[in-house]
Amino acid sequence: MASNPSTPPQAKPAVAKPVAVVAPPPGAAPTQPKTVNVAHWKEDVHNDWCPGCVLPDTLILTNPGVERIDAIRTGHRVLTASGRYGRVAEVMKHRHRGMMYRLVPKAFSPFVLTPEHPVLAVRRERRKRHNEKLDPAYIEAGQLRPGDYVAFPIPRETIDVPELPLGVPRRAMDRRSRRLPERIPVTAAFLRLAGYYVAEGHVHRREICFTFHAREKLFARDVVKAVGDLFDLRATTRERPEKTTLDVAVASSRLAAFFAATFGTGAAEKRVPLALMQLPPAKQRALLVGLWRGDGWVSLRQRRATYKTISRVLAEQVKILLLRQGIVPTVTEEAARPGHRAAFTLNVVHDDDFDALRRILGLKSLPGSRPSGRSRRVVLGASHVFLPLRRVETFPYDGMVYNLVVDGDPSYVTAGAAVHNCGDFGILNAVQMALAELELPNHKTAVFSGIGCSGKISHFVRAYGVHTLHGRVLPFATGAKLANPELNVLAVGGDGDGLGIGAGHFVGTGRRNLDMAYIIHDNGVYGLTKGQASPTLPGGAQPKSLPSPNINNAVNPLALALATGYTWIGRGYAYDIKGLKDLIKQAIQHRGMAFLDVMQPCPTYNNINTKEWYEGRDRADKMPRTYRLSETGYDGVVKNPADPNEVRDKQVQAYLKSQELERLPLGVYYAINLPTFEDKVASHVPGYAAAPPAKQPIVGAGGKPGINVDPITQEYAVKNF
Amino acid sequence: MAVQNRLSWMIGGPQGSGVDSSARMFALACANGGLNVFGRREYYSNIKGEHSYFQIRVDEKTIRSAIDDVHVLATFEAETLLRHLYAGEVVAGGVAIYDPKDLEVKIESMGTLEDRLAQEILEDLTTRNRPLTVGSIVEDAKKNGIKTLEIDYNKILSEIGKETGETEFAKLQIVKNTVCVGASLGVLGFEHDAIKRTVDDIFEKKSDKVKRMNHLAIERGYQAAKQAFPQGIDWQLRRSSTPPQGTRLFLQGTVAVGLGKIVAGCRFHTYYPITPATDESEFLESHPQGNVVVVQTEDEIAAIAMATGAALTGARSSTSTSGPGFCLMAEVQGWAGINEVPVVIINYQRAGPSTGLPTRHEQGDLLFSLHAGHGDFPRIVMAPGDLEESFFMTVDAFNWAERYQVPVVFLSDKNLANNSGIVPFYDTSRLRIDRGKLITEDEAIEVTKEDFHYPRYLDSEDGISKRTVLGMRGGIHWATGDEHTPQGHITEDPEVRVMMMNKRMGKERTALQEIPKEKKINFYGDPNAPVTLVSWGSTKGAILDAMEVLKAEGLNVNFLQVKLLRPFPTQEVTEILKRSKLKINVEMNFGAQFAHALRAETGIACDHHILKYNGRPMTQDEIVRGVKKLLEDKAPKAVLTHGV
Repeated sequence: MASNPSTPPQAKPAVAKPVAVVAPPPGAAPTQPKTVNVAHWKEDVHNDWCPGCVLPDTLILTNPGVERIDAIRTGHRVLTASGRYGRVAEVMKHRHRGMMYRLVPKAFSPFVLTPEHPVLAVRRERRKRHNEKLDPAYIEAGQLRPGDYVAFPIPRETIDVPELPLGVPRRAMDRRSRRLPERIPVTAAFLRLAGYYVAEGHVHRREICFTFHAREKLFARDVVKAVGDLFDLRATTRERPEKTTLDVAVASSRLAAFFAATFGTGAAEKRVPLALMQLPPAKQRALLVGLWRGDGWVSLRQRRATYKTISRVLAEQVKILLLRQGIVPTVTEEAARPGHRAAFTLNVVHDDDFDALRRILGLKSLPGSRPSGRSRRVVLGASHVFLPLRRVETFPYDGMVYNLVVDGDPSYVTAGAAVHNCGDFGILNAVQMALAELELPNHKTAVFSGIGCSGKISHFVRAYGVHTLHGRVLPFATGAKLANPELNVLAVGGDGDGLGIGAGHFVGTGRRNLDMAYIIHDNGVYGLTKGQASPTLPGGAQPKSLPSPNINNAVNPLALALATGYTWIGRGYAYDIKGLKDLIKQAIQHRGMAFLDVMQPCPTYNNINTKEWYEGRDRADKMPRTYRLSETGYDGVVKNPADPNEVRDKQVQAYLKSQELERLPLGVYYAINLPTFEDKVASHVPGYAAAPPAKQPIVGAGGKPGINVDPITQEYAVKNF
Repeated sequence: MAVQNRLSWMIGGPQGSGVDSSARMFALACANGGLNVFGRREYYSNIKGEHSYFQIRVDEKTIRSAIDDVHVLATFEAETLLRHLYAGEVVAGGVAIYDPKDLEVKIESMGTLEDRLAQEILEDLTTRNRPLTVGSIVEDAKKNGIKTLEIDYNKILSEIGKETGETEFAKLQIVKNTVCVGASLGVLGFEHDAIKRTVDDIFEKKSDKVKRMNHLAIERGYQAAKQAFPQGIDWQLRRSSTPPQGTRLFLQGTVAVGLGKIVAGCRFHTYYPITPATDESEFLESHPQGNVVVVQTEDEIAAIAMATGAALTGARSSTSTSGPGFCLMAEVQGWAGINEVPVVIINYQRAGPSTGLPTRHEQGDLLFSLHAGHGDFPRIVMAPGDLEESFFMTVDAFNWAERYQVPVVFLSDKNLANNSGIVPFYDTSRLRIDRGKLITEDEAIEVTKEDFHYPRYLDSEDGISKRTVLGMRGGIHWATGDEHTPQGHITEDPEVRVMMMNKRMGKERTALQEIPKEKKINFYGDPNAPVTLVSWGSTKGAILDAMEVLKAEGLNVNFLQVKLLRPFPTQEVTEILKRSKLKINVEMNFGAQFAHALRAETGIACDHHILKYNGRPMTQDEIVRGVKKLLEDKAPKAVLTHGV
């Protein structure tokens, strides 16, 4: 919307340059193409309205380890549905009174959500057989049934770290202790040692102690050798027959401090540091060997391997280490009972999984042992493991619930599966991405919003955000744009906001053709007031929130926009973030008033126009209810605005498209370049183009008025004839 | 002996028949002759046909209001003649100018008379067994000593047509008014030359033919009057013997405010058409050299929302409306209040409630303006009393809006908006533009180090935060109608809420401390006078004029005019009123709204009220009578009713 009201209307040069979406390599020269920094447009604020949330004690996979969601703060890094780690942009919480859904998947841990919270999942096609294709999508918790799959991402991020810094300085007075290498090579021996320590070790004063079973002499020797090779230290081995243990001790206060800091001390707090969690899977095998030798148990005869720990973090970490090896464990939790802390057991039982682990541990198959033939209860995909739901339980709840907003991939991962948040964030992400790709300066951008779930969007974008009144977003935005045409003004509102209470402004704004963009979140209901019918809900429809079918008919936003003079009219779909982003970019770049209708499922209140409905799941032909205009050869752009026949034909064509209800067209319905309102103002007010209202020097020398009004006043002077 | 240069002239006719332009011609002729004039315009809410009239008061001295009496009633159709003679406005010795054929008009046939009035006149005439025509009323007037001047307009017009070659009847009709003005000036014996030059001036840009037609019209009217009254009548007009010093302006309140806006730096203005506010917006729109972007919006909500949006960018912005539109603006005012946006709202009050009397005067919006919107938010409410204050206080309004970062409600009214008068040329040399704590981009960057989250609503001693505007580097913040943190993000934290409320409302205290006394109130007259008139807004003119009359009659009264109504200048007002012996509140509404506010803010109750709510502004004479009556009968209130 770079606007220059004095120039005649013409097609705007594209603002967006080709952009690289990958981060530049470290130390890249400044001549590299700019990175699109979506994070630069995201805002950290609390949110109190999105109904999709989880319980405060829900465990979230973080980097590294797990954390209760109520302990997570902005800036923490969490695992996302794509298997990468993302920065938490926002922690939201609110009080929830109502049912909660407890999803119990096979293999992994159960997790609890509000019914609207979308979970990365796949509907089960047949009860007895696995789906042939598994294409995960977000489905609300309340819509899931036993047998449906939930998806858990396999963290794939890999960074090879050849050395770890010791990081513990030698004390000033310490002249006697043996010199230690300042950088510890991350070798197989070190990783096994780390594994032993995490499983069996502890730090006692200035000693590192490993406690093996008396039978595990081989492992003790491995420790002694590693300590000698890596640190040139001598470990002492002591058998304690009364406890049937074999203790290995290494005396070095610096090394003890390093182990305590890196791996924790005490069985419940043990963890694997991030650097080791991200090593190439081939290297991580040595770590698994150490871990399994310490805490694990393998029965070659039963063809079963088990890992037990009282560390919740460690249990999830071992799960991830196994997933990275293509092994899917079954995680079970034994609740704490008097005298016993809660314990976590990982079982590896499936033939493929067991053999893979056996090979990693360097164990030979028992002669004569045969594959169990147990079928895999879960499905291992390339980037996710799909876990069928065993049960879906519900219970009433009254208390706080939490949700996260995560940069990049709008999702996070519980111990059971990846989850998303509500649809507004899809639009939000598309808005942020569009702004980032257009490389608009943040401070020259203003996002205006109305009231409703969509209204909060102005708080989530790092630009001037103006959260206006219900229905009034367009006049507020118009005033700002006219007063300072340099601003890139984006107006966003809901369907009730823009087509109900604000319908007059919708019409007035269309007539003006300012150089702005207006996005309507179109979901058919008033979400913030609990789901009353909005102006776009068809007559006769009855979403679950309505006590009786809708007796008002729907307004067609696209046809209305066409009738009132919007010069760019398009429609997007909230779950098609990339397509939406492209449309938002076009709407912003259009020189004139752009209207973008964004169809958006409201998971909370609109149970008719759901994501599945848009996907056409209920249709006999299974065709999606949306299609792209661009794929049909449709062209809504008026080439010659001076040709009344072309204008009429393009309008008729757009109108016909707006009436297609069987399958809903996405894309640009109509676009025309016409003089903007700013152009017209500039032709009437001489100073406007050079100095619009916000830029006028209204203060003159010495604080006096910057304008001499006398010549105008003179018109009213009495002549004194 | 004839009274010289102290009279009132009235012209009337159906709406759209040129009453306004003929009144302007008469007023300018007088003003150009060095006299003072005050023009009062009355019209129906109607485009064409209903009765409208214009009263011009002329005097050698400064005048600020209308008087009851009419000395010359100039008409060119029956209804004006009937209404104003029947109402008894024309004094004995005064003149009624009319077309003799209007005497035959039957009262029953006059469709635009109110039923109540027609019935009353018909009953009266029937009882007295008089013909039911306008002529009967004129006969009555004659009996009461009113002189008449009959003018056969059509005859004069056809002569003018012949002389100028204009054959189109409609074009000739237009100069009927000019004939009427010429006849009036002839009756009053005004110098012919001043009139001619005024006509030349008015029609400067018109064709020679139009000029000639008007000259002829003046000439014929003037001559007809001279023939009828070779000795003149008891009231006479002459060029001022003491020509005024300095340039003077003849204008109406909407122009005064418009000029004030241009000089104050208002560069964005919105409006939705509404009487009597629209004239101001049209003035701004027709003066693009003022560089004001004027937007006609789809409704008043859009008008104030747009003005507020523009103000967020640092543009000085305003909207102008009247009561019905102001009601629609209530919610956005709250938004501007909680977001500390400087926006100026001019409310030209008219008689309410609802559509009320859309073209008539009232000061009925005071209490609503003081509190419009839900919840507590700081604001300034101010009311000018005359055409000078309409200009200079407009500049204050924009300065205060920015200095205190609040919405400012500027309460003008129909009386100020549409009535015109003479003021000295506006001297702008002492004006200053005060942008308050609006900081520069560099200062903003200094605060935020180019990071986001500029603390736009940061608490401070005086409640005022340093302001950045949309588009400013380093100043990114959020605006929201929700309660918010200093950066503008939503919060429901009870402690932040209390902090923000205290901060915002504290700005009213700061304003009260900083605004000088002379901008809060005016005090006129002898401090020891036995009677104090208390009022606000446009009653000022009639009160000041009435004070002179009362003083001449031996009654000394003083007058407290309150200009700043919120925050209320309790201290200054109390200081004056605690000394006053008898307090009479004067205002144009039913409920004595100002007296309510005064009592709420100071605990001081007024002893009497002079009130008026018939839609017609108070005249000088009404206030004189009202004060005297109250002093005599000690009644709680006197309700004024003058006006057609």
